Amino acid sequence: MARNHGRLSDGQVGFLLVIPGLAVFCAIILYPFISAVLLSFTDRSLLFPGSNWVGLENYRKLFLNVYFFKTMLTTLWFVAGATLLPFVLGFIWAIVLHEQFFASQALRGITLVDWIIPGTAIGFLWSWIFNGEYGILNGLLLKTGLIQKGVPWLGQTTTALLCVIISRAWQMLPWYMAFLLGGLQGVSHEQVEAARIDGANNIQVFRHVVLPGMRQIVNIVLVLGAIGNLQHFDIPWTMTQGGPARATMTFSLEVYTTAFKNWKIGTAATIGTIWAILLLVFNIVYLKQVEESK
Amino acid sequence: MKPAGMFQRSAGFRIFFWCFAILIGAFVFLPLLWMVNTAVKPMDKTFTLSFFTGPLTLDNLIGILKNQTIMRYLRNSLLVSFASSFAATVVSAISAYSFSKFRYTGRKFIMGMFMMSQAFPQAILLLAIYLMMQRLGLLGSYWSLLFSYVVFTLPVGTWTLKGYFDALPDSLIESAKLDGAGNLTIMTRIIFPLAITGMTSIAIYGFVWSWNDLLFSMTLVTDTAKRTLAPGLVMTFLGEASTNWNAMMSASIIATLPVMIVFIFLQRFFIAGLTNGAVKG
Amino acid sequence: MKKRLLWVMLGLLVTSMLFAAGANEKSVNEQTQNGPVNLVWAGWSGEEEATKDIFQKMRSQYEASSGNTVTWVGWTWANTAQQLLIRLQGGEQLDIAQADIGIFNTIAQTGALADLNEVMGASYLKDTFPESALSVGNIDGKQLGLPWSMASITMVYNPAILKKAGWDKVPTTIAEFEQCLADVQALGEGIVPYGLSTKDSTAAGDFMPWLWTFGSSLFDASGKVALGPKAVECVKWYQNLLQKGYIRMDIGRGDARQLFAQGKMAFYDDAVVAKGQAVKNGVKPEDVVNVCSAMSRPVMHAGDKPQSTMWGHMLVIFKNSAYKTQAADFAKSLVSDDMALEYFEKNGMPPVTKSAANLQVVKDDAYLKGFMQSTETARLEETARMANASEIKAVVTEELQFALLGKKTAQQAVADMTSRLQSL
Repeated sequence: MARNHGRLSDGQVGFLLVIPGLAVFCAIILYPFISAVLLSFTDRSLLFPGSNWVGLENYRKLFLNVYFFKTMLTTLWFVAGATLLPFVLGFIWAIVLHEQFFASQALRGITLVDWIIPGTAIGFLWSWIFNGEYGILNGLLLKTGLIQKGVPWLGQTTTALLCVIISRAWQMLPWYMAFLLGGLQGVSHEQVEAARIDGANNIQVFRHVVLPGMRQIVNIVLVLGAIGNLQHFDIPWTMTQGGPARATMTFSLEVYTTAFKNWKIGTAATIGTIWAILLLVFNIVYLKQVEESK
Repeated sequence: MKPAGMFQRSAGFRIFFWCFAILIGAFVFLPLLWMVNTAVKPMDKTFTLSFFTGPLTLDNLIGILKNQTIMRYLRNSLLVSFASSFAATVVSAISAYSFSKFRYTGRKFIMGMFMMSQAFPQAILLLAIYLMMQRLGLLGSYWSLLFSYVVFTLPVGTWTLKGYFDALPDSLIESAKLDGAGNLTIMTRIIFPLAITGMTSIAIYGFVWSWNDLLFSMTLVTDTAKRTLAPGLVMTFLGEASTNWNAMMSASIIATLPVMIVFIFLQRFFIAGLTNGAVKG
Repeated sequence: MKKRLLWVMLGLLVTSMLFAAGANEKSVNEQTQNGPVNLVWAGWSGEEEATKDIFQKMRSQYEASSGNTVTWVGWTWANTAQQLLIRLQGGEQLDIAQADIGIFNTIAQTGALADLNEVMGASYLKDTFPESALSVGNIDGKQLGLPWSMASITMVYNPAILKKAGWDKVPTTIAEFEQCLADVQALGEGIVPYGLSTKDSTAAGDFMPWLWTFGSSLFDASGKVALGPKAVECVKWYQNLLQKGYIRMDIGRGDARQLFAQGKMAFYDDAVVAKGQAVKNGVKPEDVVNVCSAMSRPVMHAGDKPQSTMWGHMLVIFKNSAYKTQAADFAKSLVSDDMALEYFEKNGMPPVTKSAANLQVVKDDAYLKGFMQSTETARLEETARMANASEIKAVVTEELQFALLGKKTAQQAVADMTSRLQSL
């Protein structure tokens, strides 16, 4: 990190460069965010342009809501599952594809297709697979005699969230795979050789050379993946709209429902603000980590 | 003989390799194949479990290709996505360059803010953005979408490219300055070309973000002529009274084809690009 | 330094030019009152595959005869209410819209609708529409919505399957109904006896008429929550049906239509549009009634009135529209006999004007007849008159699901439903 001595205007240049990003950021995030936080203190409804100041009333009602903490818990489960599952699967897939074999390049490309199919289409595809009556999964299981009656995967609270997680994992596996594959490619060959000479087996090489070499990428991909999952809306909404009995109601669905189905913009903004505060804490921790690892 | 990879091809490894190659391969590819299967099935056979057996027809796919509206949605999406991709890459690149090679007060603060772009639920931001865009008179055009997509890709964009730029030695810049190059020249002629893989990755990321977006595009662009694909698909085929699975699957496949082709070509850049910079950071 | 400044200025100039270009696009669309006007018509059917063409025709026909233009703004059916509200907040041009009966009241509550008695003339309305239809769109004496298609959501059955199970007539009491369901189930073949909706807002929608059948209701006349022991009985009945396998979880309206159209379901609840899915699955329009017929909902005791809910599409005109008279003319063209007949023939949408409903073709339609019988005794969904209809329905659906999934007893679920509805 060299200091650019003797050129007083460099700091200004740097700042100028960041202005476009800053401008759109202020327009799209900062200003709406501030207005949203302000909204959280009102009873604004989508039905009317006016609103009344209600102070902390929305917050109070929210904490008294029996389902608020359940939603938080569901969100945590979803984020954990929807981040770790594709991470693990993507990692293994990356290892498999890293072994250059006949079609590995092509397979890499085709894997990416899962990521670019429109999210709603993916939601519908997996709803179809998991459907209780005419679903493909049930069809296969019935044919092979593993079950007697069709299982309503998306209709029972025990399995609904899992199914949504699996669908999201299918969509994001390529993204994790891409990062991790790049990471694998970046692991130093010399270090691997050195470890082999010392007599390390595959598992030891993985634990002591590969993983440490990829630590930064692993961290980044997990954090970005988690933040993305916190926001994620399309797939759970398409598949279950938060049901059954709130089994798949995550924060993002709750905010959407409150704002655009119950018309309560004020309350939705409250949920959003609480969420943003939690995320801010999380982000600060993460940024500290990025700083330290340099 | 294949060159020795990272892992020795022991028996244990082989088992691991083949087991997961098949399991994960099935997970990744079978649903895709099912989509294709549905697209080539006649309408009344949609819900049978036949997998490429039985009567097949190209009617659905041809129907979509001939469907002017869907094709228009596709063109619109391609336009918006390419534009977003380009804009996101440029903004991320100059911002990342700024964070990496310059020092000024507030730098760390702004970096932190950019990372927070995805921190607030987008559904809430939507209303304020809608009202703002309406006041600015931008609702009839794609600008609102463009700005939104650029902002949402900033976290990944700036982080990735900053890693890249950090890895480039300052001596490069110093010597260029000694040669008399101005800042803009340094940036565009020297720095960016060295980070081309990273920039490609961000371009792809920005593209996919825009491509997949449903909520913002449905709300901010209401002109039917400008409708993009994601909302278009839902509106056309998932109606009040009936759902046309074959058409929906066909349309999704056809929509994905151009993107897929570009991807298969660029995927090497994408994969390498996401991580090269970061590893050395 | 100078060069850099130049770049920045250039950038700002280009950016502002592009902004201006975007802004200009809007002003080009402004028109004067005296020349041909551009109406903005919003809704959902003009986007959907099945109705796209006829909506296009509706517009071109009017455009040709009046010289005005009609711009269509469309969203998904599920998102129409929310998008209309957003658009109303923003102040973008909005003249006339298609509104589902379920969201009509929400839009009306914003105060954005024009009184059609003034815009179209009270005498025109009285002469053209039957009183029952008009009342649906009448709030506090103002005619805020024009009935466009009106029928009922009632139970639909597959005569072929019933015959196979030994039933030539439909069951009329709940006891008979359960017997019929048992017989259908005994047929096996993967047929789902009753496709009662158990997910999303249609679950609440299907629940209400059954609640009424059991003698209870969500709210009483004064608007207070009225769920009582009879409601608990109804929920217990639901649980019973699920246990016996007569109804299933994870069935929504779309799933039910799909399965029914494939001949894998004996009964479910739907409106006249059910025809659409059957035709899509290959059934000839004239033959639909043989596989899909309307029936009256079974009652508790013989002699009770069968319950059903009103369903329909309406047209609304907005107060702030600068072109209300033109919008009114457009609306009149939409409900004209020719247009109504075509809409009916192509999409099965029942016309609601006195003249169109009396057309021989309409009166003779076997498929429609069954629905119209139920329509005469249909009630508006209890939430139809409420602005927070979605929220209420979500609460009802959730508690119902809790009970069905065995997470709460019927008693508990109804109690929670009551307290949650009261706190809204």
